[in-house]
Amino acid sequence: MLKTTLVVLAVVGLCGCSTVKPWERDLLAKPQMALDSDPLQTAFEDHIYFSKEASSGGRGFGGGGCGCN
Amino acid sequence: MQLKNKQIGKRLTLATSALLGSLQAQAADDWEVSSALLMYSEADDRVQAVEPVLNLSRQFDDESSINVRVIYDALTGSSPNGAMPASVAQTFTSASAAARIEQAEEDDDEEELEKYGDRGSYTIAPGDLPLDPSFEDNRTVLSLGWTRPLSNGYTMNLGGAYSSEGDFTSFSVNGALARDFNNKATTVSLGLNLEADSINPNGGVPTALTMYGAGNTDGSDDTKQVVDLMLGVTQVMNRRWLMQFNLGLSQSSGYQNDPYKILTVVNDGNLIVNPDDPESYLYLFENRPEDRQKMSFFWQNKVAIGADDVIDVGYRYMTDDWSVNSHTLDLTYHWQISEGLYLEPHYRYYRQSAADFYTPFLNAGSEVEVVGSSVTALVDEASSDPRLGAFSADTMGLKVGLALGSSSELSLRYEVYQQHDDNSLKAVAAGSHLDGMSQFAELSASWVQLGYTFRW
Amino acid sequence: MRRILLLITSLLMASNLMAAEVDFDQLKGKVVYLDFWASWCGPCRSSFPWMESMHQRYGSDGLEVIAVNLDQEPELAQKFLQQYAPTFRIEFDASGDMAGQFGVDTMPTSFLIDRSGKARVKHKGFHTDKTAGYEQEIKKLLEES
Repeated sequence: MLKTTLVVLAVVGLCGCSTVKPWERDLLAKPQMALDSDPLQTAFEDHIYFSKEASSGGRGFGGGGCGCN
Repeated sequence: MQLKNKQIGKRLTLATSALLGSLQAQAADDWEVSSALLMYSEADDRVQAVEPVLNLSRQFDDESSINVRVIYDALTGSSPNGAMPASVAQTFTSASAAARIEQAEEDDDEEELEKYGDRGSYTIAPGDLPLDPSFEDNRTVLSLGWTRPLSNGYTMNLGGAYSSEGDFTSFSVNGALARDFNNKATTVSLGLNLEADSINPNGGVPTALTMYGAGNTDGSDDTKQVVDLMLGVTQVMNRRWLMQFNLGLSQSSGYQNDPYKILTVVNDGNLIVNPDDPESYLYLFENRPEDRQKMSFFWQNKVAIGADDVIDVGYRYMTDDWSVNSHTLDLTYHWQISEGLYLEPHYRYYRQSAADFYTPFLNAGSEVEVVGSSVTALVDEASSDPRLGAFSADTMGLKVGLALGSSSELSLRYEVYQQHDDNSLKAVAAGSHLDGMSQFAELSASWVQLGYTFRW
Repeated sequence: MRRILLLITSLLMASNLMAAEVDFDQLKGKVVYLDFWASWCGPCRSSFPWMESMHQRYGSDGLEVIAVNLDQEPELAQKFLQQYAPTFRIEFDASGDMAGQFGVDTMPTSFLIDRSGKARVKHKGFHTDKTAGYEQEIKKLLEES
């Protein structure tokens, strides 16, 4: 599983493939397109599921959005 | 210890995604205030919780930002104590608790009495799931985060958190570094979270796999440390599609047990009278390994549909060295009905396998040696905590959001959660006390979340 | 460097460059602050009050502020303009042709073009803590004849 993950990450990373122009990030800039559009909601969910199930976390952070400045 | 966040590994999520993801939306010189209230309740009079949260964040002219969050959690209700329902009534008497209550009553010590509530003794009717009724606790959490862009396209994040409740304290620090590539179409991030917990159970730390009610303790407190590492890649696939991959590694060492959970010991399915107390039956305190290593793989996609709708698809695979493997599928559709109104239907599917030491009860003879009043566990680890069993779960919910003015929003979300037993049945003799009894308590819960965000 | 040369060349051939209806030939003699922006861009929101004050302060000295909008949804641009009500010149380039020709690689991006039509400065992004420096650059170019 680790090997697969690294391969996937490498492929995505090398993918510099994005042909998205800076001014084409209008949709990505909308709050509903943020990876975590409601951090307090995510915190509640993490807490509830952590208390009732054996798994936790997993989410990352950073990236997406308008890419400004 | 239902709904108690014993492992606050969410610091990474808190400190970073709240900031790195939303920098573009916030102008400097104002505080963004987010507040939310969670009202959670489980079926069958189990746990009820009310949790208000207040979050303040602010961006500065140099594009650095800070975040402060305060959480308060009030829990009431009852929670399974780990014992099996049986065809006879069961009374749970914790000798150490009873002794302390007696002493506190003599000393007129209100504080001590409050700590124990009804934990001294409670009786469960035949056929009912044993629930410990004295479940009250309050938790307060304070966390801080600071984000700062560095030269060369790097962004740095540092944070810390402190959590305190009656029998548990946790302190954590975290740091993360992110780097943008390809005109910010690709972001690679690395994060580290370090946590130190201190557990001070009411009645002391029970000696693992010893008799419930005998009062054997290993001191008044114990500790646990957790190290979390997270590697992530976020990639803008095209104008409408954002993708994220994360690989997470976690190492936890120290006291992993739930100090209040016990297991029923049976002889061919029949409860065994406690050699030390003929009024109650025999139960042992659980025990888990001292270490736990987890690995998770998380994949999330956000796809813009039309001008304002979004579909969010997330998948997480988790595996650990306790033999628990899990799959989580999370689907949300953001439906922007009009400029200030949206609906978000949500569905989550979860499935996990049982921990290798999970068992609904212990058999005398093969797992526990009972010779007269001498009781010895023959297994090293055992737990009947439903959290470690095999089950699948569905969550369905709906959220509605309403914009009030240009920079504030009100939201309401309702979710329903149902677990489904996936364990194989452990054999019991026909006609015995455990015959026909449920070996896994499927949890049903629902919650309402109210949110309000504004700029100040 | 290559980008600036490309830019200079394209500006000198300004008669052919009519993208988004900006005639650079006609603008010679003025210092042009050419800004590429969009309504959804946070730093762009911060830049508008500043650009307005530059326009008010130096317009009579020969500063021409031209803000080229790159919104893909025109209603969003209109809403933004209604809110900020700029008095300087706004142009629209939803197709991104002009932005592409100028090599815009960040939102926002701005260029300072001198009185002879030569692009002298390129700003990637808008940073509130650097506005004093931006203003100095404008003043310097205005002083040139």
